[in-house]
Amino acid sequence: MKVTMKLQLLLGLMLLLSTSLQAQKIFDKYENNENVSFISISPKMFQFIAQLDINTDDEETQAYLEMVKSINNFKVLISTDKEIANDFKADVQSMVKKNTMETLMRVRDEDTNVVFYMIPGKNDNEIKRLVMHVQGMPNGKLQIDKKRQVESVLLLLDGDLNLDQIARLSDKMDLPAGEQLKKVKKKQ
Amino acid sequence: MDYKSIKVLLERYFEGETTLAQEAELRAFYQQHTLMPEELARYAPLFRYAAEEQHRLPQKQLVRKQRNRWAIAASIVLLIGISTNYYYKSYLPQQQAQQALEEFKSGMSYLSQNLNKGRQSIQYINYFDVSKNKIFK
Repeated sequence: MKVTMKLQLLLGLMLLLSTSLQAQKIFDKYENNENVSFISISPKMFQFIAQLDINTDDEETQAYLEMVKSINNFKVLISTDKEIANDFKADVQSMVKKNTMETLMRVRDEDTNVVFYMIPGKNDNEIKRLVMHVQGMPNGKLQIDKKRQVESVLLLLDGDLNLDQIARLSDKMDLPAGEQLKKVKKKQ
Repeated sequence: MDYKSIKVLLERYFEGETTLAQEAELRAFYQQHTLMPEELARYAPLFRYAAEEQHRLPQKQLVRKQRNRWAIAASIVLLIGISTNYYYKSYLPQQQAQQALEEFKSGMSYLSQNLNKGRQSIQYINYFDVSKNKIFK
């Protein structure tokens, strides 16, 4: 009886370890690839960021600093190479399968194909891990900022995540209702 | 130098009437001579000791000076050590953290924008649901 319980515990631990390791794998794979931009912020660095003495009235920065408290891992891969972008796709799919991640949503427009995957947290509102995979459409443009046009972006986020909080980070005026509001203001 | 003049000098010395040069003369005499009458030899330890001490004094000061140099060198090394430590423990991470924060901000803003794109479509779906209900009710 006791031996089987111990075995079960061991198996459970191994399963837990393997899931967290799997996700790292894809980022480790491209970490030293010259054709891929790699950004990784470690839990330790998040502690440093939280300790940063920034006295700013800038609401936007405040919102990001507030968010830092609940995040402990942040990784980004950006590829400008089409073939590597295709490799991403296969790697992401195997990661999603192995980690039994849920698809949160897919958004496709003329420029990009975006898929969000997640591992749910303790509550309904919380997410433990969020992965965003963005691919440029064959005839579209994937622009991460005003200058850089790329083929594929993969972003991983660990922590106690709240989707609403993340959504609020970008300009609220981006929402359709926001657009309408802007127009009204202009008319006045 | 004969013993008589030394005897006179000694007498004056104990009276406190000798000059510095005469005292030096006495010390020189006792250092150079080991054989002398008993009445002079009595005071030999006194002047030999004084002579030795006079030699030793400058050396002591020298040692002290050298020690000071070591102390200064040590404190400079310590200061450099502390400041490099501060640089690596506090200043550098702070700069890195600042940079990391910028990366984080741009990444999160991109994530957020895409998330909102999805929300727009969700709103459209809601809108579709409403109109569907209108039609099918």
